[in-house]
Amino acid sequence: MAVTVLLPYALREYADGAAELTLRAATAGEALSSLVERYPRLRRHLFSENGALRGHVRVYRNEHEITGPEEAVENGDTLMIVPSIAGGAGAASAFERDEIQRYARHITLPEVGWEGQEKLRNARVLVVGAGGLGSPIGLYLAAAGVGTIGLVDFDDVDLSNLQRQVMFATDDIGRAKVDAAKDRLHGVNPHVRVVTHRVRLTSDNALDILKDYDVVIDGTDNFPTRYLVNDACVLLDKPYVYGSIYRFEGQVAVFGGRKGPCYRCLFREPPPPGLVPSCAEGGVLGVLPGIIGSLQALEALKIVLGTGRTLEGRIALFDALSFRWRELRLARNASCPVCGDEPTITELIDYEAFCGVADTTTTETTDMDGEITPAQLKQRIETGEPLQLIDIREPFEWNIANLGEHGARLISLGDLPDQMEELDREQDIVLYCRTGSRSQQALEYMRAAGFQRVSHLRGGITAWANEIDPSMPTY
Amino acid sequence: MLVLSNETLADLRARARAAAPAECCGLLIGREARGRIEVTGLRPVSNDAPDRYRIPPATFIAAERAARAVGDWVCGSYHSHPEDPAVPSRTDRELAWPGFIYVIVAGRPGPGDNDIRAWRLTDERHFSEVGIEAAWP
Repeated sequence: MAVTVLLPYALREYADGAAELTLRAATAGEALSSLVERYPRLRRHLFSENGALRGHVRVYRNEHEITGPEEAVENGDTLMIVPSIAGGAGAASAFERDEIQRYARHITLPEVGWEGQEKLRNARVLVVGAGGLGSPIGLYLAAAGVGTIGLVDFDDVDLSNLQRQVMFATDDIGRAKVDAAKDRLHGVNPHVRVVTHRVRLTSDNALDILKDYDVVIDGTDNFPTRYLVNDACVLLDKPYVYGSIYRFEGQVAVFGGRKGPCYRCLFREPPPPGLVPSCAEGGVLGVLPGIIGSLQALEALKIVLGTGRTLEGRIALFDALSFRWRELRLARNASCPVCGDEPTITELIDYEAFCGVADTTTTETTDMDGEITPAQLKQRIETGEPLQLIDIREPFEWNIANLGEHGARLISLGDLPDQMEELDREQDIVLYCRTGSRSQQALEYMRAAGFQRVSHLRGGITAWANEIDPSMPTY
Repeated sequence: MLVLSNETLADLRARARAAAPAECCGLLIGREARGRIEVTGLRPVSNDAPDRYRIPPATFIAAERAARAVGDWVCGSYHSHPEDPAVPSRTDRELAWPGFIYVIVAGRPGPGDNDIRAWRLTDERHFSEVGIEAAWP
């Protein structure tokens, strides 16, 4: 009998491209045998080892499925090989062979297993800040196989970062942090996707960046960004893993999105600018961000896995010098302005203004009230007119770099109330700190105390180093 | 390379949205031209499961016969992942045929990811991505 066999598109490449062919056979089984004799590469797709038709292959004679290979065929019949087409999200993405080996220690853990590893693979975690905290966070997330890791940072790698930012190498100095980090994380695990956002996180872009991620980790060390990330996470209902470090102390917490508690339940408002120095000003022991950042990565993994008890509703405090951990309970504050019962913050606000931080990154020459630019100060010094130049930083900062050769003297911010009476109220006073933030605060303090002829250096000694004296070290 | 018209791409997105939280699914009808596969039509199949789909053999047979009558054929399938990116799942891999094109529409694409991606199983049973070219209309 002459029968026509119709091959589905999927099998044609194993049959030299044939879509159909006519064979002579008495039964359906004979027709299929003669088909795979002619095209041996088809055999393994149609038959299993023991010669039976594979489970996901069905054969139809004209309109009906054959009852078995012995079914007789008639002249002019059509046999159609019908592939079973199925699938679905079901279990998450398939793992490549080398991934199974890579994640073997995870898969072995009953609390993780295949299912957990697939959750990690499907997870999208955003790390804000690729610095001391962001380094261990990024490295551990990548190593653990978190499928999509977003990194937000606008800065470049600087020599002074390498003391603690273990994601970077000496060769990376001068590169954009997000680019150097992406290379490093791909080196750790080529299976993860690293999405780079080389921007400063602001009220204008935060919601747009955060919305595509499942978990947000804050690895920055400034208040405006912390409040911004907190508010955005509440508004978008995303879990927020908080961490901060200062000198020898670290904090970790998990905030629960819209249902709270959130960072504002803990600290409704930021401290006055200058009161809490940044790591650059206050210093930090290199290994501390390694500890705190690792804990943030741990909490993010637990959130993704849905395993164990996260730090939600608690804050952990670590004192590295005495090696003491403390844990505080953290309750949602019903009157919290963002996650409370009647929130007053329903969209992102101006966080720089909220935290009272002057923008010290621009170096325009406009003469703001009480501000003097580095160029103006240089000119002022060169005229030789009497000027009291006061460095209000800490002594160790003075030792890194100072304007002593231009007549500056050191009166640390804490000593200012006691020592400012030694200054001549009738003569111009210029205050400076590292970036202009503490000197702004000192300026306001002195004016309130009746000093009229006082101004402060915009951008601090950092701006001076950048604009006037490039040989001066910055920190 | 898989060629999909913008109209078909929009249709796929609309079907994925309409079916959610279930997966939408159906067959891709197409033809080979200049080494590329051009999708000429969709054959939707109803489905109410959020995590799996299956095309009934009768649907395949009817679609294959109709397609062959005009020189096309069933070249693969499409389905949506309502809560996941457009990446093949383990289920997809276990049930896939080499040679067919599997188009996935993501309900929740990864950051910067395309929401519609196409895949083909290699002989080693790994999925490799097939580029999608959007054509007018």
